[in-house]
Amino acid sequence: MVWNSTKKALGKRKIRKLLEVHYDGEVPEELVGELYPLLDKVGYDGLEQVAGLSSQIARYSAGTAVRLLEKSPELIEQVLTHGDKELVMQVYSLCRQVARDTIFVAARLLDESPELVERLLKYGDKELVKKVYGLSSRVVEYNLRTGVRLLGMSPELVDRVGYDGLERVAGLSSRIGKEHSDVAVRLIEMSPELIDRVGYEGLDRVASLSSQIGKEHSDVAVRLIEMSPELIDRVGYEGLERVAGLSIQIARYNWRTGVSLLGMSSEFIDRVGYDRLEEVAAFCSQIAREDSFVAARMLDMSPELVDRVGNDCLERIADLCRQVNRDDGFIAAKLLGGSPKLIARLLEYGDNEFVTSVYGLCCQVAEDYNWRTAVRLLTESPELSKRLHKYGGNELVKAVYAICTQVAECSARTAVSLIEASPELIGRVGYDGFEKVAARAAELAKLEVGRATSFVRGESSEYAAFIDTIIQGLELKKIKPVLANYLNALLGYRIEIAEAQGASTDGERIYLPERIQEFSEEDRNFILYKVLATHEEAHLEYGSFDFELMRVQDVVSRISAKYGGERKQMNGTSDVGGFYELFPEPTLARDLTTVLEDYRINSRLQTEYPVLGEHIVEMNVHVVSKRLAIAELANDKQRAVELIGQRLIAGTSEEQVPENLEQAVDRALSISHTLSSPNADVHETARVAAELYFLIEDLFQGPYKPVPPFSASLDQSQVNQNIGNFGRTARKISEKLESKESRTEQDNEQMQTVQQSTSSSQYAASEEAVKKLLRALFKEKGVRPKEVESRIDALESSKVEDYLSDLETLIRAEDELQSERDTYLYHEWGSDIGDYRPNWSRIRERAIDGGSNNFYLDTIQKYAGLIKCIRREFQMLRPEGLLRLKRQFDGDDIDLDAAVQYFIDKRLRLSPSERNYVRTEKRLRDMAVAFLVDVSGSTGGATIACEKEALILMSEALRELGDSFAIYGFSGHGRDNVTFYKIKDFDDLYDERVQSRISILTNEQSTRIAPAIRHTTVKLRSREEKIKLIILLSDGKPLDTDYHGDYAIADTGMALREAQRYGIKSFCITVDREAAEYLPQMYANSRWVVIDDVLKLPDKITRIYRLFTT
Amino acid sequence: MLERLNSRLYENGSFEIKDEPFYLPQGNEVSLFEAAYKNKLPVMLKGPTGSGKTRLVEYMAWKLGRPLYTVACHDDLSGNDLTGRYLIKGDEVEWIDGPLLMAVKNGGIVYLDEIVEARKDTTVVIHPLTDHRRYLLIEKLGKIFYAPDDFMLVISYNPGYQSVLKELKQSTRQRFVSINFGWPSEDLETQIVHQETGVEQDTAKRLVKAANKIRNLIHQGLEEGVSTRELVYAGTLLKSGVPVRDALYSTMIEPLTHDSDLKRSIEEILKNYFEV
Repeated sequence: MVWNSTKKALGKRKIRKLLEVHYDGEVPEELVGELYPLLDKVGYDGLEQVAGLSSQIARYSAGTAVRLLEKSPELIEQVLTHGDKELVMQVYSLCRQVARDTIFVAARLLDESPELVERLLKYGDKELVKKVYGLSSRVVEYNLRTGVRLLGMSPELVDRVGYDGLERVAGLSSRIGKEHSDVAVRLIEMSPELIDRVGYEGLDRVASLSSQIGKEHSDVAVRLIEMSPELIDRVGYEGLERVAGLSIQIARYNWRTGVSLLGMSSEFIDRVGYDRLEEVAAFCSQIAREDSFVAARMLDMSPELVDRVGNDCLERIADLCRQVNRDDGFIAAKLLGGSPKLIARLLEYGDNEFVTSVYGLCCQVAEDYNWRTAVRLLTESPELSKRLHKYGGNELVKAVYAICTQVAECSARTAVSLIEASPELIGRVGYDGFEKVAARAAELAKLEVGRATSFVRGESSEYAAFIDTIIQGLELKKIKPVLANYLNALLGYRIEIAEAQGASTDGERIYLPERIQEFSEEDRNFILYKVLATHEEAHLEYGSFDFELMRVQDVVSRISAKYGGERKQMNGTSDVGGFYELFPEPTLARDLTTVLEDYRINSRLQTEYPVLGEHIVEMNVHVVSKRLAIAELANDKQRAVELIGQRLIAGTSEEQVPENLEQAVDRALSISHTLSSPNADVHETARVAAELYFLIEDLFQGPYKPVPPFSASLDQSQVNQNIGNFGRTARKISEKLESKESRTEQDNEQMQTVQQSTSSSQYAASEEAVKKLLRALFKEKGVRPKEVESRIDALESSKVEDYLSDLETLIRAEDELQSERDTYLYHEWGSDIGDYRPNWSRIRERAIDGGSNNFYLDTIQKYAGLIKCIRREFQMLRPEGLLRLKRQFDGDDIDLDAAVQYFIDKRLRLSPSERNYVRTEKRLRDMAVAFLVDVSGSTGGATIACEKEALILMSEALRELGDSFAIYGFSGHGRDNVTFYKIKDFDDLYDERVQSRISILTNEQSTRIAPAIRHTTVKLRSREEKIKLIILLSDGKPLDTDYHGDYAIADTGMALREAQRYGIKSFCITVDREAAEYLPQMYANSRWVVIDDVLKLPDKITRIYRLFTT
Repeated sequence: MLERLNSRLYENGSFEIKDEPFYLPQGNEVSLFEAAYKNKLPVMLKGPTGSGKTRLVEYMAWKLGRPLYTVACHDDLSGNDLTGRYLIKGDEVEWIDGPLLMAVKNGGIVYLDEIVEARKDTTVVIHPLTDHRRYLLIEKLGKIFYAPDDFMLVISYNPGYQSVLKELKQSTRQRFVSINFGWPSEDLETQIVHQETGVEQDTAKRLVKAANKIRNLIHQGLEEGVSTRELVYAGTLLKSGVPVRDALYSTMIEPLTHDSDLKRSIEEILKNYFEV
């Protein structure tokens, strides 16, 4: 007992002493108390280790040290349960070893050690644990991180490969770790897997390989180790070595690329094998020499690319990117990034070879012309291919690219234009024609590239002539103007012609095929066009779209009686559609109606136009001759419809037909005959259609399969949506009128007679009259029935009549369009539709007022000298005014001098002169000139100021000269809003007000020149002067919302041409130096001059004017 | 000059219309004209070229039994040309009456065709004749001539004609009773062509139908449509055996336009009716 307590006191003192070294102050009694039990277990030396570690840690973090110290009894206890004192010593000494470098790792190591020990014990006894700790501590000698990691991994490693394995790993890693701890750590981490797969030998080799590579680049080595199991699986150790070789090679240019090569290598090899990898790597390393950026990106993209396209293609891609990258790395990266997607799209239209040729062409363009164009071409190419594909599948697309590549050898620029124009071109002239164009372009390119390019773009006159020689069939484009006028004449209003597959109409447009090549003679092709167009027009003219179900109630009730009550309620469909739906087989009803309506229309046309009628028959016979043989059709129902169609449309069908069919068709034809009367309307067609339907239904069995259509079935809903329904609107109107009438009758029975005679409207009697009015309205004023209908629906019946008479006066009124004061509507030339867009732009006249005339005064002062000169020059130009011409044969008055001479001569018996009269003639400069000034936003800065100065100088000069002149400015925003500033009208005096208006002019919005020209033209036309002139001052291209480029240029050119047509000359002064390109086109119909320096404008304008007008 | 002035043109007797001109009324224009004559009101005939304005005046002159003085106005026609002027004749100067003065002196109908073409001073001359004053002032003679009851002034005016310049002034327009001429209705026009030229009814009808289609193109490219007069010419040519193509081209296409597309369109319309 005593011994015990003595021993305890002694031990505690010792511990305190031990701890005192490390503690600054008094050692806490409790700690000593806690540590004391350890004394027995680990002895003084053990405690010394604990204290030593603590003191080491305490240097950096006292808290951690204290915590560790406090924790150590428990910790040691735990270790002791598994091992012995020696082990504790080892743990602590290892930690101390580590703590020399990093206390945190040491602390963690210590914390984790019981657990680690416990885990290790699963695989062996405490001797093993000791050995592991010993090993780790040896490794730590070489490299701390490697050692720590080895220890951390040790349970796992021991489990897998036993202690021996661990030792070997330790050996390897410690060797590597000396230099590249990262590599070594990674090696340890990967080692279980590696050993599993490739054994120690493999591990050895990987280790030596990575240590070798690590010498050059540790990141690559790390990645190599990570990838090595997968790679060895796939390509063996040899392969790994080679991949590693490749990577390091690339890494020399760009380490990231090298790393990423390794990263993707296994996936890559999976896809396309090692050989390709090697190729790609070789290829990339080659690129990398020139352009590491592209190489890296290329390699990144390559797994996605490589199984889609071949090396050639990759090469081209890289080539292109390299060229782009010289200028713009961002675009190059985008190009590469987008390439898999692009290639995927391209592959829809061809194979690898095709893609290669696309890239090849782009490369060539980039090399010979410019890379931006090449990139544009590349991004366009899927779209282009898609468009080309329509004309002839993949083969064609490929062939076109091949041709363009050939052309590119002569001129890349021409090739670009050629390929961009190719879909349209092939659409027009077919592939053969395209080949010819290409050949011609190549020839031209050898002479002159610019010429070839404009040839291909279709800008040269040469082109038109050339196309004409190779074109097949007749193009709609060519005859559109003729047909448009023709249809306009027939129909009475303007209808657009548009391209579509077959012929049809939607009320606003008549659709015709883009090209007709039925016949070899152009004439007959044209006749076919004409017949088709007239047919569609006739549908509109003869009311095919006026069908109303309620007007054929008789038939409807018969059908309902036959096929059972109310059929589906149709919503949203047209009346014609609803009519079809009444039948059990709507398609049969539809086909019959279409054929019959065509028959009705054709008959009507034949009576109306005797000669055209013959053409119609001729063309229909041709169409019918191309149809399927009757025998090939599915069943008798179908055959019957086909036969009826053929007989009705062409009047013939040569085939031998079975008896029963023949009879049915004969009966059908005799029923249909009523439709050939000019009085038959579309409702009659419906009646006949129903009859035929019953007939066919009775005679033949089986379901009906639609025959290929003879012509497009009527699209009533579209037409009604576009323009409305004349018949329905007329009916509604007359119904309203009638209802009003009957109401008044009821209301005032006693006044009935009076009402009848006075208010009975002229329309109520006849719906036809209303319909006529509506048609006239549409024809003359473009008021659609649907607009009238919606008004009528909203009106009370009593007001309908007033509304109608309003409409009537509308037709008679002369200037309905200009009703809004100071606004004027003008047409616009649409180069896209090859026609005018009626009332497309609105001119708003605006007067400017107020403001000071300081600018004017400044200008007068600035140019005082010049103005004096100008005035003198222009005064000299000024003529004398009225001129009396003496001694004329004929005149208003007798020339007294001459008369005296006459009588003298007579007395002298000389032969007297007969020139005895005086005639007065005006010898004015009979000239009106309008200055039209562009005050759009683009004229900012010096331009507007110079324009204003020029105007002032001009005005001063003209005041001397006496020419009447006007000054207008224009600007605007959108087609509804072209502002037209009246700065000086012809009749205004050139006074202070005008001067101040010029002074306050500022630049504003956009440039829509054409309406301003048209408006000025109108103003000039009302002048009496003989010579009329527009002088246009502008700064370049017309530009407005939806109004730019060729369209705007064409419209402006057209406006000038119109002016010329009215005998108004135009002179355009432009201050845009770079504009020269489009000016000849825009000013084709006028004279023009470019002033390269805006500052010279005021000086030059008077001279130009003088030259131009004298 | 003298020769021209002495020609038969200015002799009174030849101004009478002896044979009935062919005229089919479009509407009430004949009675309107007659009423205007009775009430001494001047008349303005409005309508497109070749719609029968001149023919109406001739017909009315015949019907009313008055001489007709027709002056085709041109842009150099001055007031003096209407009223008259002094001429030197031998040793004398002699006043020669212009057509207007002649009519004022003798009574009769003066027809100023396309009045807008004349110089502006002509309007000054005719203004006093058009209102209640009904006199003609001749400054050079220093005289005022009062018009007799059977004097009538008729002018013609084509509103859609050529240019805005040639617009008749409001103040002038409002002095006249205006008779508007449109194109005759299809049947009437057919009748006119048929009777005037003797071509078959069917041909006449086709000509008129085609003309009506062509008239749809007015303001769509055509300044003016095919006139009845042109149709009559076409009929006449056809009747006299000119090939269809030539007859139609020279009357219904070429005079209308120079635009080749438009010509082709018109041609196609004609081809609908005729074998050309």
